[in-house]
Parts: sequence; structure tokens; C-alpha cells
Amino acid sequence: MDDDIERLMRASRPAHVRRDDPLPTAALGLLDRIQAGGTHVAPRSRRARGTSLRRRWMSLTGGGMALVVALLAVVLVVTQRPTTAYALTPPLLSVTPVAGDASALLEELSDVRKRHGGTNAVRDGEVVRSYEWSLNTLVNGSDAPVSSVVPSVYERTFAPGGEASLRILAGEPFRGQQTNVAPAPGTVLEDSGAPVDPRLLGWLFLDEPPVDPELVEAYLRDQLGLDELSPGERLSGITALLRERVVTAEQEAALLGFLVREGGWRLDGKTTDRLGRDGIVLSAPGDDPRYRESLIVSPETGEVLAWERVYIGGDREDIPTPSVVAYTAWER
Amino acid sequence: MSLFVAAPRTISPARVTFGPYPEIYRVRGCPGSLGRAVFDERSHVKSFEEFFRSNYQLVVSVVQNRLGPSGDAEEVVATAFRIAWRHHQRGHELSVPWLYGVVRNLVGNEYRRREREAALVERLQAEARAEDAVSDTATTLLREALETLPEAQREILVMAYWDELTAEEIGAVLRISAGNARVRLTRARKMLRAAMVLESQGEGGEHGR
Repeated sequence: MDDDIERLMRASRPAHVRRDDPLPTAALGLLDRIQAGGTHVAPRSRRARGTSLRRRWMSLTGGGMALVVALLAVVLVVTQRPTTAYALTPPLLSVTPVAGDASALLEELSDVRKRHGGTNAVRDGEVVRSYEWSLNTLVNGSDAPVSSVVPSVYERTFAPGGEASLRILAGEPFRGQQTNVAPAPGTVLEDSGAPVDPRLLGWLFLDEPPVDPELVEAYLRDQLGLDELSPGERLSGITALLRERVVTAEQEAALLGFLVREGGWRLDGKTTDRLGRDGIVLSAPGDDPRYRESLIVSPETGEVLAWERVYIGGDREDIPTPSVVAYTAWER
Repeated sequence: MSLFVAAPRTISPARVTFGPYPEIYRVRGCPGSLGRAVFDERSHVKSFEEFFRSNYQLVVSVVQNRLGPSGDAEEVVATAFRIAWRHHQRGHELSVPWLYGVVRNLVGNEYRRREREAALVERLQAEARAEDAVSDTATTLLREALETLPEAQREILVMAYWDELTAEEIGAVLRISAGNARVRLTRARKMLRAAMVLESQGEGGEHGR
């Protein structure tokens, strides 16, 4: 089905050339000009050159003044600011190790989840409500990434006919965050309006999840559009599912059972999540080894309470290592 | 089933080598800094030439996909490689994701410079040139649906299917993992399919996030 979309997209491609086409002769001329430091600009008239010289002199005079001002500003900034300029990220969760067999513990949590009943939705089972934050990094062709922080509350509402809507509200700033630049908590940031086909909201999970752990892998791969899942993608895939669908106790228990079957994760210990709840932390490496994915599961109900992504690499200049780069905590 | 492209693009190891992270392609022979005691100018020039030859058509196609094959497009291509040359002369690494970011910025500037109506005419003219056997109706429907998608989804579809970037390259441009890029592409395809259904029912318009 999606192959049709791919084929249509490729067929409607406006460009005449393809990436692998041979280099045209004219391109070699451009290469020569660039390396010779030349430009495409045609020779200008004497009058234009005179005007240009006057402009250049004026700009040099003005430029000199600007340079002095800029140097003063740099001196002031350098002498008064801290040496690093990291983006502010939420504090890392404190994790205490727990004893015992990790798989047995998760299997037990899966059983607990089944017995506890209910779904991941609140408000009469219609709304999946989560507190989400991610470090958004923008790269605009420059060497330096620009990072921003957006704490938000997501309300995904599911209508009986399968349609859905999304409302995003400004969340509470986390400790240390500048509050003067963030919108007031509760401010509506986005509202999709009347319920629509969930695909129009960019949601992936259109089919009912299985209740058999053996079928979860194929289900996640199909819905995510991936040929295979890394251990970290299993955790983030479960997260995406719990965001975008109302999931029953049996289905959620199957997700935990699936993790027991597949392995590839480790039991980090116990913690208190960002909404103040006790949780058991499982983690696994992401498909990018610079990141680690974690799920936090309630020891009392077996419900998945939260997900976190932590940067553990050493190459980013905008954040220290380790740093939380995204989290989701469900209201349950 | 590959949900991205039929087969991952292979970049010749003779042209580039992988950097410390798989999504970043480093040009072999590019000096780390001009201030190094030994500076091989011939190697420096040659590595830029290799980068230029490997990526010229990529840049042309990225620009044509967005601006149409006009004289302005040629100027944007030339400007992109002049910036790359200066970047290289200052001792910085050249990579496909970096170059792609430069081109996107230049295209953005060009868009702002042009009248929006003129850009639309260019796009419609380009559409008429689509050479595939797919019917005009389906192509038109797809283009209309594509316009209704949020920018993030539209952009990743264009990156994958028009600009022919690999998942690894898309990930590097967006600073996300290749796997994440693939998932976002799946998301965008599903949105586009739904948007096409809406368009075909004559209900198109602004929607989504």
C-alpha cells in the first residue's frame, strides 16, 4: 500500500536530474571558477565601480566603528558569562539498584498488569494524557545547533468511530527553567479541532494491538514501518503505541511479556518518576548508540508510567553527557 | 519490505569515509585545520573536487525540486558550492548533511525573495514535466495533498523521494537516528495517504498539526 505512495512521490519529482547522473561539462566550469575565487557577476561599468569604491570606503569607515563596538561587546560577554552554554535539560532521575532476576520481575509485572485491569486512558477512557518534553535541536546549515525546550501536556482524545483529536497545552516548567520565556502553564499551544482520521495527525498505530506477546514484534514493526527493531526501538515503539492508542490491560501486559521474550534490555533499578510515582526502570541502547531508552513501570500496577531518552555520547556541544533529551510521563 | 528506498544508497568508499558517527561522511584527505604544520594544498583541492563531483547533481536536484529548473536555481547551486569551498578552505569537514543544510537555507532565502505566486507557477510547470507513466490526475492529487501536510512531514517525504537522501543522511540533517528517520517517514507516508483521500473527496484544506 505504502509502496504506491513511494511510487507516486518519485513520479511527481520536479527535478530533471538525479543524484547519480554523470557530471555535466558546465559543472566543471563552475568548479574552476569557484577554486579560482571568481564569480558569475558580469564586468561592471566604470561608474558602477566608482560608486562601489565610495560605498566600500564608507562601509570600511562604518565597519571600523562597528568592529570597535563588536570587540567591546565580545570582551564584556566573555568576561561576564560562564564558559559553557549548554541547553537546560531536566535533571536525571535518581535510580537505586534492585536485587533479583530481571526477567522474572518483568514477567511478574506483566501478570500484575493483567490483573489490575483498566486502560492507559483517563476521563472515561477517551483521553490519553501525557506530560512530554523534548530537546528540539535545529540545524540551519550552520556549524552550531540551536536547541530549545518545550514542556507540554498532550491530550489525545479518541472518538468511538476511530477518529481522534489532539490538544497540546503548555506544561509546568521544570526546575531551573526560565519561566519568563515559556507560555503560562495551561496555555493551548495546538488544537487539531474536530476529530479526524488519526493518520492526518501523523499517528502510526492504526490497528488494534495484539494480546499475545508472540505477535507484538511483528505488530510493532508493521505499524512503525521498520524491517527490524533494535532493543531501544522496542521501548520507544511501545511508547509511541501508548501515546497514540487506548490500550487495554491485556494488550499492555502483552507488551511487557514481549520484552521478557526478546531480552536486550537491562534492569536499572527503582526510581521516582517526574510525576512522583514509584517505578522500576528498564533500559536499552537506542539504534543510535549515543542514546539510551528507558521505560518506567509501576511495581504496584504493572502500568508503563514513563519513557525517557538519555544522551550518553560525547560529541554534542549543546548538552553535557549524560543528559535527558526527551521524556513522556502518562497520567494514569 | 523497505519502507524507505528500494535499496540503501551506497557511497563509494573511494570517495568518502565514515566519521566517528555513521551518518556523517567525511571527505578523505580534508585537513583538520589550515594551521597545521604540513598542509598539502593539492590534496586539499583534490578533496574538494571529489566532494563537488560526488554531490553536484544532488544539489542541482534538491534545488530543482524546490525552485524549478530556472536561472535562479543555477545561481543557488553555484552559491552553495562557493560556501562549501570557503568552509573547506577554513579547514572544516564537508559532509552531505552539512551541504544539504546550506542548500535548504539558500532555497529558503530564494523562496522569500520570490513572489509566492511565481514559485507556484514554477512548481506547476515542473509538475507538467513529470515523465513517469503515472497519470496526471494521481500526480496532481498527490501534489495537492503534499501541500496540505505540516512542513515537517512534507519535508521528510521530499528528502526521501525527491532528493533521494538515505535514512542515515536524513537522520544526520535532522539530528535524529536513522531508525527515527525511518519511523518519521512512515508517519509522513500515512499522513500523505490520508490527505490524498481527503483531497480526492474534495475536502482538502488545512488540517493536521
